[in-house]
Amino acid sequence: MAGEQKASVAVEAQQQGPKLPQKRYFRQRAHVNIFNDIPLEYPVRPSEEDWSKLYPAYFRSTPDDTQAAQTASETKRPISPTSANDSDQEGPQAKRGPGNGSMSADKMAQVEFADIGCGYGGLLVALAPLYPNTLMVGMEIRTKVVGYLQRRIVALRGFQDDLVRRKDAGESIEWVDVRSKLKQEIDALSKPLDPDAEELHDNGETDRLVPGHYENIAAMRINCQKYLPNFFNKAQLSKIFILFADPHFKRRKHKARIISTTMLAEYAYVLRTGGIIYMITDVKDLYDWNVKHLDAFPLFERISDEELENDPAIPCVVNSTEEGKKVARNKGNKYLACYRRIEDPAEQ
Amino acid sequence: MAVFPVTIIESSPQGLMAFVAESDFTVTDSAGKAIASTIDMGASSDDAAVAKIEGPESKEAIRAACFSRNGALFAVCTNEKAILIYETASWSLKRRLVSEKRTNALCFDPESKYLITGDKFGDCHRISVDNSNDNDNGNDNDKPEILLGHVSILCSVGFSYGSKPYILTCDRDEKLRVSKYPNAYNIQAFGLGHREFVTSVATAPFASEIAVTGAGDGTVRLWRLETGELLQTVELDSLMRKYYESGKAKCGENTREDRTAATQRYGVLRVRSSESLRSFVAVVERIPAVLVLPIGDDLISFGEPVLVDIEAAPTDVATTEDGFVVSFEPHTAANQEEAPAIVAYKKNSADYAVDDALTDSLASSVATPQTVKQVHVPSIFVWGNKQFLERPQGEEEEEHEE
Repeated sequence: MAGEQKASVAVEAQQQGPKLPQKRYFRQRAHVNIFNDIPLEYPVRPSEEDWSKLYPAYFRSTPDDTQAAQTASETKRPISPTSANDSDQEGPQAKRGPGNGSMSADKMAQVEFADIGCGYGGLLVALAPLYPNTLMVGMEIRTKVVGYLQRRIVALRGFQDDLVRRKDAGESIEWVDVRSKLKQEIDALSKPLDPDAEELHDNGETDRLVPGHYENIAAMRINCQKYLPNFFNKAQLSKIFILFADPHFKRRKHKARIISTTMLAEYAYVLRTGGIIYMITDVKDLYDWNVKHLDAFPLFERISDEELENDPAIPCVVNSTEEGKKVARNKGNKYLACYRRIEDPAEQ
Repeated sequence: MAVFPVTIIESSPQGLMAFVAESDFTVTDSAGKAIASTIDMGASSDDAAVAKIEGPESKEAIRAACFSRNGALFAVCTNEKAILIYETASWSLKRRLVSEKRTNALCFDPESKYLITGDKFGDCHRISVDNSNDNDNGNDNDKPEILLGHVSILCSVGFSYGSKPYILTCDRDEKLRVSKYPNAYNIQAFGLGHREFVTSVATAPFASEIAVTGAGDGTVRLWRLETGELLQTVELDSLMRKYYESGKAKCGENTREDRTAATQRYGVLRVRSSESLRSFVAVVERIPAVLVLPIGDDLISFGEPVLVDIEAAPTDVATTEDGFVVSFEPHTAANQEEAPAIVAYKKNSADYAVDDALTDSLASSVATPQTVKQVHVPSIFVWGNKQFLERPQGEEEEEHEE
């Protein structure tokens, strides 16, 4: 007994590195009044946001650091995984923006995907390796939940750092096969699970290398309904995710719903033409409301189910969030609808 | 006994002026002679009867008013959600309706066919001026059509001039939004830069590419409409600090309603454009001055600002053929008890001076309702300040997290 204890203590001491936060310490009630003036920090305009805090691998805080950081980063990360599954994955792996020297300061990386109400980060963590060169941000208004997700991302990046170091030192470290990992997770949903295990489970990788190394995801605390244009320029985003949003059942609360005619104009503003809104919910009333509003909005057009079959983001949208998993385990229904941002018919 | 001060002045491009006090308003021509009023005035000085206007119910204070660009229409909105639209030819009431939410800001569209309202929940509605069926999309005309929305109190609504019309909406969360019109669901740009609630927006036919805003952050800003680019910022502190220093502008007292009253600050009450002066003018809460900002030759920047001293703290300004007219907070026994203070100014060569003729004419034309006790004009910072700044320590409302 004593020996085991000593061993575990020794292992603990070694594992002083990254630790994934536990959700149970970060629980917070789901409902928030978005009309309240909460002291939030937000920039006056998008160009004044310091993105280097969220994506340190992509944005340098000062120009002088770029040169030094560039060399450091190139030796630190492998350019592509050695596994043969590359062809399934989109684009070159693990390459970074300005740090790689191929982009000038003008062509700075920009956030392209936004997860509105990202919660504990299930979607972001699942999407990150599918689009390793694309910056994605999760937006969440609840302090504790954002706190959790930020710690989680830092921990996941830390694990990746360790794995890279160990790989360079000669250890055989594998790259994750994103497709099969996703499939495993979906299959697992049909098996009964101990709620404690679910609580601890993290769909992020801690043992294998992941394209992008989670450097391309981040979380911020923001009231999207008031401050979206403060963070994103016109036509900046190519994807917006609205998954399992607060239904705000009471009629007087309908204006607080994340999809409303008011907000659709703002989503259409930050989304580029051809960009996509992904919406999924288990609440049929909310689904009907969302679809009604999206159908009526002149700048959005419904994407057919056939077209969605080829979209790699869809399995994550449907299965990767904590909420989505809960619904699946309870054998609930999920209603999905996706819309494309189109040119203004009134201007043609 | 006391009288209400004039708190809103609106002028039409054709020279009509409307002076609003509480639930009443009086309309004069460009010479300051009364034409019509909601107050029963009998005959004016040269025996032409002053038309009696069917106004809002008493106790329904008017929050905003506006003329249409063609001068044919005038509208007011009240605290009790009433909206009244008048034909200025006869001062008859053309339409009266009740809006769902209290309207904060008003303006007519460039064609003078619709009245646009902005409410305190951030929604902008469009109301057909005519009761008859001339609405394009076959809507039920009696119900206002929603045009666009902010998730914030709407403070001011306006339109651009020029071939591509834009509707401009300003909110309490520092934003100027420029949207296409009538397809207002299509946002053209955001003007981002103000650090406090944006109170007023003005546009001008002589500078159709730009708009000017004033805000609670002590600045007046100039924007390029098409892109939202901030072209110029005028810091009011550098220009107006002298009024505090000389004691002409007074800080208030720290009260429960306005905890920041004791600080020196500059809250823009109104920005207007003046075709004759080829300038924008602004008045600032507490500051006894009118700021005149001439537009430069390039039409996208201001020339040298001019400060015109006025007798006391203003409540509103409107532009006239020769200059501008200012209404004041009550500051003498005469304007507290007898008649509200309104002064007209005109430009002569490089300077601005009181237009005595017009001022006198207005003094005998504009009467305001009587009241029992002295009226205090509330500060715009009372509603403009973000809630949490005003809450005293320890008095946390139900927080959104537990």
